[in-house]
Amino acid sequence: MQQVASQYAPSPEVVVPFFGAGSLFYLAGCLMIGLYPDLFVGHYFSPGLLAITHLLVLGWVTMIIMGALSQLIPVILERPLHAEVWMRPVFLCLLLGTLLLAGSFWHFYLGTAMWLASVLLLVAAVLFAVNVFLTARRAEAGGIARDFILSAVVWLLFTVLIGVTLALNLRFAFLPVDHLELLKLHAHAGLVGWVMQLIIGVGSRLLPMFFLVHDPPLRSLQPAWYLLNPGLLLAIIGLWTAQPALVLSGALSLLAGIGIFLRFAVLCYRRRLKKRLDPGMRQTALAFALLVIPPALLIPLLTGGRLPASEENAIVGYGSAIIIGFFSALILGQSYKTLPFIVWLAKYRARIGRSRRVFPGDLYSTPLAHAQMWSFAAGFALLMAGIFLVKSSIVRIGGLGLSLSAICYVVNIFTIIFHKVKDEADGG
Amino acid sequence: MKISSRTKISTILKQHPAAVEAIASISPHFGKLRNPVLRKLLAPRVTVADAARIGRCSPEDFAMVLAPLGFEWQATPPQQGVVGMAGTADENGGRTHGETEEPGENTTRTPGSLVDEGESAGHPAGRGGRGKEEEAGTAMLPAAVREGRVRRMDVRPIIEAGVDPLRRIMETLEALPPDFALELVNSFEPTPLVRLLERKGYAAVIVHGDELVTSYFYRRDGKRHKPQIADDGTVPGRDVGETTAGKRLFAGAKDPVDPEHAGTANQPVPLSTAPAGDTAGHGQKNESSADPAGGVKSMSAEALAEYRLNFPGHIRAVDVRHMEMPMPMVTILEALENMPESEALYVHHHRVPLHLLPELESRGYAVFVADLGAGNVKLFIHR
Repeated sequence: MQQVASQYAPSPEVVVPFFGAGSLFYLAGCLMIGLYPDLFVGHYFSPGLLAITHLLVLGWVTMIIMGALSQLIPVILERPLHAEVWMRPVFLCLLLGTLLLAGSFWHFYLGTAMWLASVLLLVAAVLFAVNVFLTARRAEAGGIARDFILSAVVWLLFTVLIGVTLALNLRFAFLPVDHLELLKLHAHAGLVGWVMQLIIGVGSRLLPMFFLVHDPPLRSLQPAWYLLNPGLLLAIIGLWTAQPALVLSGALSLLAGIGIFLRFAVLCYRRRLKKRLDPGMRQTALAFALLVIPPALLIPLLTGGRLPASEENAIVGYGSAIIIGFFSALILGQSYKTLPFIVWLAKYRARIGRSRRVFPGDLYSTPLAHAQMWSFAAGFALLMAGIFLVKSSIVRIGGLGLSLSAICYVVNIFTIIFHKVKDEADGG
Repeated sequence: MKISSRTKISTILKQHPAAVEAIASISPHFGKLRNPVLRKLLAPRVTVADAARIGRCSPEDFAMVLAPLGFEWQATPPQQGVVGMAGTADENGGRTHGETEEPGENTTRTPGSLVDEGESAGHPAGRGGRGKEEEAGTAMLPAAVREGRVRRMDVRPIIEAGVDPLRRIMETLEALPPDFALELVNSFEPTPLVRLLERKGYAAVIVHGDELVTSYFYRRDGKRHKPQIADDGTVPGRDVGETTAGKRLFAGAKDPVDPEHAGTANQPVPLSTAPAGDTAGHGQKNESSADPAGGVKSMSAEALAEYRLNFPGHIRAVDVRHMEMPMPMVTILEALENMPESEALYVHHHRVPLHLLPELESRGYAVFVADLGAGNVKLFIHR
């Protein structure tokens, strides 16, 4: 008989700062879209757009992912985090690094602040990666989710290292390769290698859990790993050596891998036992619908096919569809599944069966969550329309819609974080 | 994929969902596979050979309709370690289990769940006779039944209420006067129960009616069989091939997604989640539940089944597999709070509830966890 280790859940103090800061970064990013819409109808390589992009991918997407992972990794690997305490310096480095980096890009100041930002982000990534690897080292559980998470963390390190190199190159221009090609390389290592793989890994566990699917087709995801990682490597080599054929074959491999995951998500949705979706899962479903946009743009971009706008605009649209579309929609939805649970667990676990029933869903406002989804959908649609019609006025309205969704989100996130247990007469 | 007469229907359907229609085309008897609930219930418990018997066709018919779907037919390999062939067909569609395996042998026994109800009505299919009657008919019923010495027990409402009826069945059996039989009424054949009771020294006769299955259990001899558990967590005289009995005594009704099924002897189920050599203490746990020593412990499914059998108090059962989190946790904790301290809760879960375990521990419960894999976890919780 084996004694089962029993404490896996991290304390909310570890997770909550990531969600709090992440939601504020999302709000800041959306406000900047509304305030500086011209950036979205110009060339993608502009200081302002670089600042907003890094604000969103680091401050928003990576911030929430790291927070959520510190909650989910123990569940997936069935082991407590190797060092929960490391998550605090990870958070601080990520927070300060993102602020400094975005500020540096905004002013296109490539001096000390940029260097400090690079070091801070590198420390955050290394600490996080080491923590994940040390947690996974002795874990036998995890299956396919574990494979995706570990490879995603490797790509995170790669992305940050390439980012630092790019920052150096911006100043000293020592690399023999076109800087814009390197930018694509860096972006895809981050967006696909780090974020997308992580979404697949975590999604393989969370989608069946939240859609309530028994016996999910997990084995069907295995080929996705073998398509994504070599595909990404191939595309990166292609970008580095300027061989479009390699880039295209790598991209097709990536798209096939993502297609497999999309199919998995659709299967989970169809087989779900829980027919009525809560706000979180509704927004998740919306996110997956948006996932079809980036491939639809990528293929003509790579093959010289017909685009609804100029290549520069289409690239901005492509990046926006990934970061503001799919990633943001998914995080906006999944935040309602993960954060309320860990706060609820800490505050109510000892009271279950002994006092009034309270569920994680009672910790936030459902109407506000619905308002968030609709304003997001409208805002995103307008943003895309503005980008492709090259109309900054439409982008501005889209930015306002997104800001509205971000306000709803921030209010709900902080309502959850500061939730107070109401003491009852029966003592609870 | 290669298939043989011993391949499970569920394996075939998993490989190729279109096989449902292909198999249904063989015989109208297989139309029930189109129903998802019945499919989940029956397909894992029936091999091609069983199905051919039920559908009055030959296994080669399966080979023929499945070939276009990429299934390759293989002649059945010789069985190893099988003393008797279970499940010989009689002319009326019923079956007799005249011979059974010896304990300790790795056997393949055909489950008796898919007898065509319409046509076999009224034809008893005896099993567990240990070499006694082989012909169908009322002559197979034990003298106690023919002479009216029976105690009747309808377990349908018990199962319906979400309670595991095993404990009550065992109590009723223990309390049976000599030469009496237990008449157990259910909506399906309780194959695993039959196998468990056979090992405990009971014989069984199963009668399939239109909608009901009546099982008669009676003592084969005067001796009482007391199960014992060895230090390694296994029951002496059994090996992996026989471990499925007792793990899921009421396969089907409350276990629609349960991957572990009666008659899966040819697919050994992992015996223990505990590492070898880390199983000391099973014996003590079985002797008494009054001293569980608290905490959360994992054990083999077999050991858990035996522990449950020997628990002195009433056992409630709850199935939380279809619940979205955190409802499983809430349901379990509320059930425990509303339960007398002398009782235990038997939980069917789809995973080891990592967030629940520390709370159970802090509330002073003893928790025994058996992870059978593939989304099938059993918990046994008591003070």
